[in-house]
Amino acid sequence: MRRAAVIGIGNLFRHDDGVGLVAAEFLEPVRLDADVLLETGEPTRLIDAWEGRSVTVVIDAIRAGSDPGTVHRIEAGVDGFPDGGQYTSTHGAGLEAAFHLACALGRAPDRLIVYGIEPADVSEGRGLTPTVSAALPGLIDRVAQEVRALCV
Amino acid sequence: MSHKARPQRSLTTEALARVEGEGAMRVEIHDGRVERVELNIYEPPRFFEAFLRGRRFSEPPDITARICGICPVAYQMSACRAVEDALGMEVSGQLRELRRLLYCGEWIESHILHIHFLHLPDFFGLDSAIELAGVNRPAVERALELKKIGNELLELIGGRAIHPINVKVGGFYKVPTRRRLLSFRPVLERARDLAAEVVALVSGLDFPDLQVEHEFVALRHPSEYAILEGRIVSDRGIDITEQEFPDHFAEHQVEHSTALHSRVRARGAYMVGPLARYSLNFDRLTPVAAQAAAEAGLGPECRNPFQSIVVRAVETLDVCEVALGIVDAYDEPDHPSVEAEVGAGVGHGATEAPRGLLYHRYQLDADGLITDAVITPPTSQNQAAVEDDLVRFVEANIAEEDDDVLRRGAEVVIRNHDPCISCATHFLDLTVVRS
Repeated sequence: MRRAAVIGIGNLFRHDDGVGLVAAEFLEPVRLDADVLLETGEPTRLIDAWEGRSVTVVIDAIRAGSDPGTVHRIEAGVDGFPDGGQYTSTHGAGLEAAFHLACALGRAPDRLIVYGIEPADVSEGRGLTPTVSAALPGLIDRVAQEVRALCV
Repeated sequence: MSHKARPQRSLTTEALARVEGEGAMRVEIHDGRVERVELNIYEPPRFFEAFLRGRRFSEPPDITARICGICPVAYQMSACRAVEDALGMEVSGQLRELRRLLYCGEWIESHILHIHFLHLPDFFGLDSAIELAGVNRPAVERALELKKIGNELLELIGGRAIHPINVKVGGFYKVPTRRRLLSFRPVLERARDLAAEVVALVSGLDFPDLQVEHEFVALRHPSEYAILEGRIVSDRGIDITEQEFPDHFAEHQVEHSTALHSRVRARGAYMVGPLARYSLNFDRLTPVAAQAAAEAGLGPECRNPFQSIVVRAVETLDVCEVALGIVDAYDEPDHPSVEAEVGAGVGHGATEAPRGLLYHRYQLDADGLITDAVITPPTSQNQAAVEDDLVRFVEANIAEEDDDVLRRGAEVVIRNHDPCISCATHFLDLTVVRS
């Protein structure tokens, strides 16, 4: 069994869509006793990254209709998981498609927990918005606490 | 109810699934005839050509790689070769071979993705590879393994799998040792075996009958199945250098698309991509790939767009063989790149992206700054051919009364071409107004 992983996914050139990558940069593998990985969200790479792990925590921007900056936590198989549905392309096939494909192939991690921040702006451009930046420390603390607790 | 009782039919798909990028399709049928078809590309234009102006000659490989996450190497290679043409540089020997090897990795990745994740579900009547995993798990497992090998090859030569960082005008920042490349040989042998299995799988599919008569356009090289360079040839007599591309091909604006349509100046619509490449270069396949093509039932020419899935599989097998040959013959070059001497000039570069011919042109001033840039991606070249295929398919199946069935079939016709709409939307003339 591989050790736990934290995977930050997103696109740094789409403002708040990069929040998962930014958050992951702040997490230290040694202190967490977990691998910290940065990914675009491309499904085949995600499946490779989490296969054979007991726990995987993914950090991403999540649009759920809440106020920008709201932190969400979803555990696959516990909270239900968004339908992968008919992905529109390999560019657009994201975390949901990756998870459902992994399940179909028996390659999902034992536990998949997704942390996300509601974005304010995912248009083209660099840098997080002030609202999402302000929520970032709280998100990082919650992820670090959960990973440490899970890996004891 | 016959179609005569329904004089007006309209098939519309607002958001096409399983194509790269955002597009829509509209087919209008009047009195049993297809009156209008449109492949609507509504993804926002991206203005790459405009913001390349004023940049240094060294920047296009990294900037244009960002046009696509599936085929960044194609953009890097066409950009490098166009800039090198402008500066009178020649990149040859092992550096050229390393470029081909990098490109092989991208072909493996891109073809395997399209075959299994975008195209194959259609032949099983399924909506996604997730459903496909339920009915043919070995096929999806094989795809993931091949995709991973493609990724590893890109990382080995390009430094990372998406938007490689080791490519520069003149060659590379760093080249691998011979020992490192040879250690990858068993992985490539595995890829070759898996690719042969993919050919066997897709050759057994049922293909709707559709023969297209488009003019096929592709690169052709004296001894290779052209990927990195060659003359631009067609089956109707075009045989020109890359530098002559603008003299023979023109782009024009259409109202329903943010991507330009391309035409052969003398004639009209044409087609690039696997079918064109294969039909113009069948005699340049490696013996292993040629044998597999024969066993798959392909002749020296293929004009059925549904069979593009077989051609992509054969091409995947071919690049595995090519990659093995490059690895075996590799000697680490003395220098990782050729030095550029800055000066004014105009340069052209055409390479074969997985989806077809990708042409770049740059004009440089005496300080090596770009004063003009033109990028012609394969999808914009193929738009007219895709629309023509739609007309033929719908007219051949006009007796089908169920609009959903007909629409689904028409969507597959589009997916046959593996359109990369994100790549194609690079231009919008905001002043054009048509009634």
